[in-house]
Amino acid sequence: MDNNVKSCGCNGNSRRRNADAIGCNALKKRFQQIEFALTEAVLYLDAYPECNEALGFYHTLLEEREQLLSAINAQCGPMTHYGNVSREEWSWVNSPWPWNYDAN
Amino acid sequence: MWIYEKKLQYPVKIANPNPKLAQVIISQLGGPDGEMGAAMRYLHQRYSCPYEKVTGILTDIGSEELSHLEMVAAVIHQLTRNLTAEQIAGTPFATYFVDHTTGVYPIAASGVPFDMKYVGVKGDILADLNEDLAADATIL
Repeated sequence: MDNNVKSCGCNGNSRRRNADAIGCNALKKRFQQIEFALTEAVLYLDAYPECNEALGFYHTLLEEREQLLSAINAQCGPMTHYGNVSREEWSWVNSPWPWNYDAN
Repeated sequence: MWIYEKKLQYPVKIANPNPKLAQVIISQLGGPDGEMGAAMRYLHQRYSCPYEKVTGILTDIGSEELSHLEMVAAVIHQLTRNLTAEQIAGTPFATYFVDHTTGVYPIAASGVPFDMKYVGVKGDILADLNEDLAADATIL
Protein backbone atom coordinates (compact mmCIF):
# COMPACT_ATOMS: atom_id res chain seq x y z
CA MET A 1 0.00 0.00 0.00
CA ASP A 2 1.29 3.41 -0.91
CA ASN A 3 2.13 5.09 2.39
CA ASN A 4 1.49 8.55 1.08
CA VAL A 5 -2.03 8.03 -0.24
CA LYS A 6 -4.52 6.48 2.18
CA SER A 7 -8.23 5.91 1.65
CA CYS A 8 -9.01 8.48 4.34
CA GLY A 9 -7.08 11.12 2.42
CA CYS A 10 -4.45 11.68 5.11
CA ASN A 11 -1.06 12.68 3.79
CA GLY A 12 0.78 9.78 5.35
CA ASN A 13 1.71 11.51 8.60
CA SER A 14 -1.27 10.07 10.41
CA ARG A 15 -1.00 6.44 11.43
CA ARG A 16 -4.56 6.18 12.65
CA ARG A 17 -6.70 3.45 11.14
CA ASN A 18 -10.46 3.59 10.66
CA ALA A 19 -11.15 1.61 13.83
CA ASP A 20 -9.14 4.10 15.82
CA ALA A 21 -11.03 6.93 14.14
CA ILE A 22 -14.32 5.61 15.51
CA GLY A 23 -12.74 5.46 18.94
CA CYS A 24 -11.59 9.02 18.49
CA ASN A 25 -15.07 10.30 17.72
CA ALA A 26 -16.44 8.71 20.88
CA LEU A 27 -13.49 9.91 22.98
CA LYS A 28 -13.78 13.47 21.70
CA LYS A 29 -17.54 13.56 22.20
CA ARG A 30 -17.21 12.43 25.81
CA PHE A 31 -14.40 14.96 26.33
CA GLN A 32 -16.66 17.67 24.98
CA GLN A 33 -19.43 16.64 27.39
CA ILE A 34 -17.10 16.48 30.40
CA GLU A 35 -15.62 19.90 29.67
CA PHE A 36 -19.07 21.40 29.15
CA ALA A 37 -20.01 20.28 32.66
CA LEU A 38 -16.63 21.42 33.99
CA THR A 39 -17.19 24.92 32.63
CA GLU A 40 -20.43 25.08 34.57
CA ALA A 41 -18.74 23.75 37.71
CA VAL A 42 -15.96 26.33 37.41
CA LEU A 43 -18.39 29.21 37.01
CA TYR A 44 -20.41 28.03 39.98
CA LEU A 45 -17.28 27.63 42.12
CA ASP A 46 -16.16 31.14 41.15
CA ALA A 47 -19.27 32.41 42.90
CA TYR A 48 -19.36 29.82 45.69
CA PRO A 49 -15.75 28.74 46.35
CA GLU A 50 -16.68 27.16 49.69
CA CYS A 51 -19.23 24.73 48.28
CA ASN A 52 -17.85 21.28 49.03
CA GLU A 53 -20.41 19.47 46.97
CA ALA A 54 -19.51 21.51 43.90
CA LEU A 55 -15.83 20.94 44.51
CA GLY A 56 -16.45 17.19 44.72
CA PHE A 57 -18.37 17.34 41.44
CA TYR A 58 -15.50 19.29 39.91
CA HIS A 59 -12.94 16.68 40.96
CA THR A 60 -14.99 13.77 39.68
CA LEU A 61 -15.17 15.47 36.28
CA LEU A 62 -11.48 16.36 36.39
CA GLU A 63 -10.50 12.75 36.89
CA GLU A 64 -12.39 11.57 33.84
CA ARG A 65 -11.12 14.54 31.84
CA GLU A 66 -7.54 13.55 32.61
CA GLN A 67 -8.06 9.99 31.36
CA LEU A 68 -9.82 11.17 28.22
CA LEU A 69 -7.17 13.78 27.48
CA SER A 70 -4.37 11.20 27.73
CA ALA A 71 -6.22 8.85 25.40
CA ILE A 72 -7.02 11.60 22.91
CA ASN A 73 -3.47 12.93 22.81
CA ALA A 74 -2.11 9.43 22.36
CA GLN A 75 -4.62 8.13 19.80
CA CYS A 76 -6.20 11.07 18.02
CA GLY A 77 -3.70 13.87 17.94
CA PRO A 78 -2.94 16.75 20.29
CA MET A 79 -5.89 18.51 21.93
CA THR A 80 -3.70 21.47 22.92
CA HIS A 81 -0.18 22.69 22.17
CA TYR A 82 0.98 20.60 25.11
CA GLY A 83 -0.49 17.36 23.85
CA ASN A 84 1.93 16.37 21.11
CA VAL A 85 3.12 13.07 22.57
CA SER A 86 5.20 12.01 19.59
CA ARG A 87 8.88 12.85 19.43
CA GLU A 88 8.93 11.97 15.77
CA GLU A 89 6.32 14.30 14.39
CA TRP A 90 4.39 17.49 15.14
CA SER A 91 0.70 16.77 14.54
CA TRP A 92 -0.88 20.00 15.76
CA VAL A 93 -1.45 21.35 12.29
CA ASN A 94 -2.98 18.15 10.97
CA SER A 95 -6.66 18.26 10.04
CA PRO A 96 -9.36 18.16 11.17
CA TRP A 97 -9.89 21.62 12.56
CA PRO A 98 -12.93 21.69 14.80
CA TRP A 99 -15.05 24.13 12.76
CA ASN A 100 -15.13 21.77 9.77
CA TYR A 101 -18.22 19.68 9.10
CA ASP A 102 -16.21 16.44 9.15
CA ALA A 103 -14.79 17.18 12.58
CA ASN A 104 -18.21 17.20 14.27
CA MET B 1 -3.25 33.92 28.87
CA TRP B 2 -5.23 31.48 26.81
CA ILE B 3 -4.83 27.85 25.92
CA TYR B 4 -6.63 26.70 22.82
CA GLU B 5 -8.28 23.32 22.70
CA LYS B 6 -8.82 21.84 19.28
CA LYS B 7 -12.53 21.28 19.81
CA LEU B 8 -15.76 23.22 19.75
CA GLN B 9 -17.56 23.68 23.05
CA TYR B 10 -20.58 22.00 21.43
CA PRO B 11 -20.75 20.22 18.06
CA VAL B 12 -21.73 22.12 14.93
CA LYS B 13 -22.81 19.88 12.09
CA ILE B 14 -24.69 21.62 9.30
CA ALA B 15 -25.42 19.33 6.39
CA ASN B 16 -26.89 21.84 3.95
CA PRO B 17 -25.30 25.17 3.05
CA ASN B 18 -27.79 28.05 3.23
CA PRO B 19 -26.61 31.59 2.47
CA LYS B 20 -29.93 33.19 3.49
CA LEU B 21 -29.58 31.78 6.98
CA ALA B 22 -25.94 32.82 7.13
CA GLN B 23 -26.89 36.41 6.42
CA VAL B 24 -29.11 36.50 9.51
CA ILE B 25 -26.98 34.42 11.86
CA ILE B 26 -23.88 36.51 11.22
CA SER B 27 -25.19 39.12 13.66
CA GLN B 28 -24.53 36.64 16.44
CA LEU B 29 -20.90 36.82 15.37
CA GLY B 30 -20.23 40.51 14.87
CA GLY B 31 -23.44 42.34 15.66
CA PRO B 32 -24.22 44.60 18.62
CA ASP B 33 -25.50 41.69 20.74
CA GLY B 34 -23.13 39.06 19.42
CA GLU B 35 -20.41 36.90 20.94
CA MET B 36 -17.56 39.16 19.82
CA GLY B 37 -19.01 41.98 21.87
CA ALA B 38 -19.67 39.72 24.82
CA ALA B 39 -16.11 38.40 24.91
CA MET B 40 -14.58 41.87 24.55
CA ARG B 41 -16.89 43.29 27.18
CA TYR B 42 -16.21 40.79 29.96
CA LEU B 43 -12.52 40.34 29.24
CA HIS B 44 -11.88 44.07 29.36
CA GLN B 45 -14.03 44.86 32.38
CA ARG B 46 -12.07 42.44 34.58
CA TYR B 47 -8.93 44.59 34.81
CA SER B 48 -10.52 47.29 36.94
CA CYS B 49 -12.68 44.94 39.00
CA PRO B 50 -12.02 45.22 42.75
CA TYR B 51 -13.64 41.90 43.74
CA GLU B 52 -11.80 38.63 43.22
CA LYS B 53 -14.86 36.48 42.65
CA VAL B 54 -16.24 38.90 40.07
CA THR B 55 -12.88 39.11 38.32
CA GLY B 56 -12.91 35.33 38.17
CA ILE B 57 -16.38 35.25 36.71
CA LEU B 58 -15.59 37.97 34.14
CA THR B 59 -12.43 36.10 33.08
CA ASP B 60 -14.15 32.74 32.85
CA ILE B 61 -17.30 33.86 31.10
CA GLY B 62 -15.27 36.08 28.77
CA SER B 63 -13.17 33.10 27.81
CA GLU B 64 -16.26 31.01 27.27
CA GLU B 65 -17.68 33.71 24.99
CA LEU B 66 -14.60 33.31 22.79
CA SER B 67 -15.50 29.65 22.41
CA HIS B 68 -19.05 30.70 21.52
CA LEU B 69 -17.60 33.07 18.92
CA GLU B 70 -15.86 30.05 17.46
CA MET B 71 -19.06 28.01 17.32
CA VAL B 72 -21.00 30.77 15.55
CA ALA B 73 -18.09 31.13 13.14
CA ALA B 74 -18.30 27.38 12.54
CA VAL B 75 -22.02 27.75 11.79
CA ILE B 76 -21.35 30.52 9.26
CA HIS B 77 -18.49 28.56 7.74
CA GLN B 78 -20.59 25.42 7.33
CA LEU B 79 -23.58 27.36 5.99
CA THR B 80 -21.50 28.92 3.23
CA ARG B 81 -18.77 26.39 2.46
CA ASN B 82 -18.37 25.33 -1.16
CA LEU B 83 -20.99 27.79 -2.37
CA THR B 84 -20.42 29.26 -5.80
CA ALA B 85 -20.98 32.89 -6.66
CA GLU B 86 -24.03 31.81 -8.69
CA GLN B 87 -25.63 30.14 -5.67
CA ILE B 88 -25.11 33.28 -3.61
CA ALA B 89 -26.19 35.82 -6.24
CA GLY B 90 -29.68 37.14 -5.55
CA THR B 91 -29.60 36.13 -1.89
CA PRO B 92 -29.17 38.67 0.92
CA PHE B 93 -25.71 37.15 1.45
CA ALA B 94 -24.53 38.50 -1.92
CA THR B 95 -23.44 41.87 -0.53
CA TYR B 96 -21.34 40.19 2.17
CA PHE B 97 -19.88 37.87 -0.45
CA VAL B 98 -18.59 40.80 -2.51
CA ASP B 99 -16.14 41.80 0.21
CA HIS B 100 -15.52 38.54 2.04
CA THR B 101 -16.51 35.65 -0.27
CA THR B 102 -16.87 32.63 2.01
CA GLY B 103 -14.49 34.01 4.58
CA VAL B 104 -15.88 34.46 8.08
CA TYR B 105 -15.85 38.15 9.05
CA PRO B 106 -17.32 39.58 12.25
CA ILE B 107 -20.09 41.82 10.98
CA ALA B 108 -23.74 42.50 11.67
CA ALA B 109 -26.56 41.42 9.35
CA SER B 110 -26.97 45.12 8.58
CA GLY B 111 -23.49 45.16 7.06
CA VAL B 112 -21.86 47.13 9.88
CA PRO B 113 -18.55 45.51 10.88
CA PHE B 114 -18.10 44.69 14.53
CA ASP B 115 -17.66 47.88 16.51
CA MET B 116 -16.15 48.26 19.95
CA LYS B 117 -18.72 51.01 20.51
CA TYR B 118 -21.13 48.16 21.37
CA VAL B 119 -19.02 47.56 24.48
CA GLY B 120 -18.98 49.65 27.66
CA VAL B 121 -16.00 49.55 30.00
CA LYS B 122 -16.22 52.29 32.59
CA GLY B 123 -13.71 51.17 35.21
CA ASP B 124 -16.51 51.27 37.78
CA ILE B 125 -17.71 47.77 38.65
CA LEU B 126 -21.33 48.78 39.25
CA ALA B 127 -21.54 50.57 35.92
CA ASP B 128 -19.82 47.66 34.20
CA LEU B 129 -22.07 45.04 35.78
CA ASN B 130 -25.14 47.03 34.78
CA GLU B 131 -23.75 47.15 31.25
CA ASP B 132 -23.46 43.36 31.43
CA LEU B 133 -27.06 42.98 32.57
CA ALA B 134 -28.29 45.18 29.74
CA ALA B 135 -26.13 43.42 27.16
CA ASP B 136 -26.90 39.86 28.11
CA ALA B 137 -30.58 40.48 28.72
CA THR B 138 -31.10 41.63 25.15
CA ILE B 139 -30.36 38.10 24.01
CA LEU B 140 -32.99 36.53 26.23
